[in-house]
Amino acid sequence: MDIFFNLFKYRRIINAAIAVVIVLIIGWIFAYEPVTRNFIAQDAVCNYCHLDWEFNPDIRLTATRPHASEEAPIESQPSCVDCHLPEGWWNTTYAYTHFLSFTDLFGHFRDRDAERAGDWIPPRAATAYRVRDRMFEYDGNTCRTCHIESEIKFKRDRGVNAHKLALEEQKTCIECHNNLVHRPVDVRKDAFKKTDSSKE
Amino acid sequence: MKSDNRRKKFAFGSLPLIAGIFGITVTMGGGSALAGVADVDWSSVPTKTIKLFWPGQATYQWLRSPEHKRANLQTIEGQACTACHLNEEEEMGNKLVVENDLEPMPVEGKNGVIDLKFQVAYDSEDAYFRFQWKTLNDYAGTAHPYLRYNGEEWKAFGYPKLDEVVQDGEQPGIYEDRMSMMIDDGSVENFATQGCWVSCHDGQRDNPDRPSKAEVMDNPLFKALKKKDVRKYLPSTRTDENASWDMGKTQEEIAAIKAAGGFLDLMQWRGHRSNPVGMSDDFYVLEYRNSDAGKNPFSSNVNKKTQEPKYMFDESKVGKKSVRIEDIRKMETTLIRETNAVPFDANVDWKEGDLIPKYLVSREDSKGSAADNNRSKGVWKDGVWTVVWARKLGLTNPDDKALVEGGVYTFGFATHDDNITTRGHHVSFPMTIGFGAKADIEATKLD
Repeated sequence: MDIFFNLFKYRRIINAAIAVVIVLIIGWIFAYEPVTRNFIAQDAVCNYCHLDWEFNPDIRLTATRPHASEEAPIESQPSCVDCHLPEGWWNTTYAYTHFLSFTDLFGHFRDRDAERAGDWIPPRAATAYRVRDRMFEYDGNTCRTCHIESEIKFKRDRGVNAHKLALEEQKTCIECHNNLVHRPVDVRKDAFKKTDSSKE
Repeated sequence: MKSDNRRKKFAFGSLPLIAGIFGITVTMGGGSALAGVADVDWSSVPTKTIKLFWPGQATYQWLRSPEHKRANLQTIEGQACTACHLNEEEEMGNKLVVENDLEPMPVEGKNGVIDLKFQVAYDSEDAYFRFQWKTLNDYAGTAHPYLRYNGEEWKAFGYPKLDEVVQDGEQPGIYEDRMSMMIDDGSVENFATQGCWVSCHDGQRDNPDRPSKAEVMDNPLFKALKKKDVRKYLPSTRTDENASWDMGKTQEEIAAIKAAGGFLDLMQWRGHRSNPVGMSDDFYVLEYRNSDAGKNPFSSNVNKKTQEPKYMFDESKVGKKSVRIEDIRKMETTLIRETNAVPFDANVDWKEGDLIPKYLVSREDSKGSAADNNRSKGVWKDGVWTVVWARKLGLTNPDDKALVEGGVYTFGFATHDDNITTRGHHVSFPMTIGFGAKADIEATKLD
């Protein structure tokens, strides 16, 4: 009975505490993604493990200037998470599982045909393959966060032609736009194969 | 009956009339050259303007490499060049013609693009082609390398402009103008989508990774072919995925591909070596750029033993036994065996600077499938070549792509302009031509 008495006695404090917790939870729910993206999963954090050599040394890309057009101001450059962490509350969790190496750990158990066949793939290439596969699988969802197909202003005819064809053939960004940022890794010749649903 | 009448008009006996129509002065024979196409009313045939552009060293291998950004995998899968590059001929030509990764030997003053006006018609017996293009130079490209007497011996004189000796100023740029057609009937993989680029490879003359003469001659395929350099070939004749020049299949395998029609027809009208006798040559591309069976209208005029010319000009016809550099492009300097040539006489008092053509041309000596294109003629006027060309329908030679009514064929066009050869041409993307069938360009049926 004492516990109920004490609860009653300190009900204001408890209510306030509960209210604070609820506010914190709600706040955390709302803040989880923006805080993670903007303050926790910063490029500097990523670069704690992902070193400079992963970026293309020829054009001196850096983690803070990885995907630039020449005219674009530095502050408009995307950061690591813009490309590698899909938007969304639940997706934000991947940042933490990645920090804890969960996804890397499971990633190494992913189905990689060449490795299954016994061919050794350099870790850098394996990473590129894995990430590209993911971007292909999710239809370039991180690319599309910034690049809205209908709003792209093409500079040359080839862009118009290629995108028209890509739309017709339901191709996704990474099938053409690869080796843009990181140290170049050749695309596997059997990459980007859609599942033939007729065989399923 | 109308067709029969036209056939009659094609007869060589009508040459003076036809020559008159063209304003052609046949100064050195090759007179029985024209026939046929002069009778076509080209004003009733639609004209298509085709952009020809400078391709640089964009070889089959480069197109499939990561350097061909965002498109190498698609190219491997057979995606058409025009999937991305439609209407980009001008931009690409102008970009590639100056020094860049794909052009290590830029030619000074070279234009990136040429507008080719193209017309095509046919009747029950022939296909007729008409090409018009403006040349870079204010003279017709009718000169071709010569043998020059230097006071002691005869040495090659004049080279194409991609050659170092020309770029270094050691030799003048001299080479004939050309108009080329490559044709497929659907038998060659990727030609419909990637056109001439399926035949252009690393290792070829003026392309990257060119092997030495010894390396070529040491290769089993080239040893069998008795060839000393690498020229156009099809990937189907190579064993490796990258279609390397030195990975040729066996002669038996290649013969089987040919028998199945897996080759390209390649025909070239030549300002020096075929036009003066009213012809174009006839080749096909398979494991090499091969001549059709028989004999083309030109051959070497170099005596391999003595390194002297085999023939010289007939003084009674030409007014001189040889020409001088000041004669080049001012007069026709083609040496035609049956018209203006006599066997070379080493005892003539040759003077330093005397020039005799390096090639001998003959309509009479041409024969077989290689002589199929014996009715073509080009006239250069006011800076524009106009080439008309007839080709028989329904040819049955095993080294020809037979054009037939109802057929659709993929064509690639190229012109060599301004003293140049090999890859120094302006090329088109592939396009289809239908003879009584739907296609990119539909040939006009003549009554």
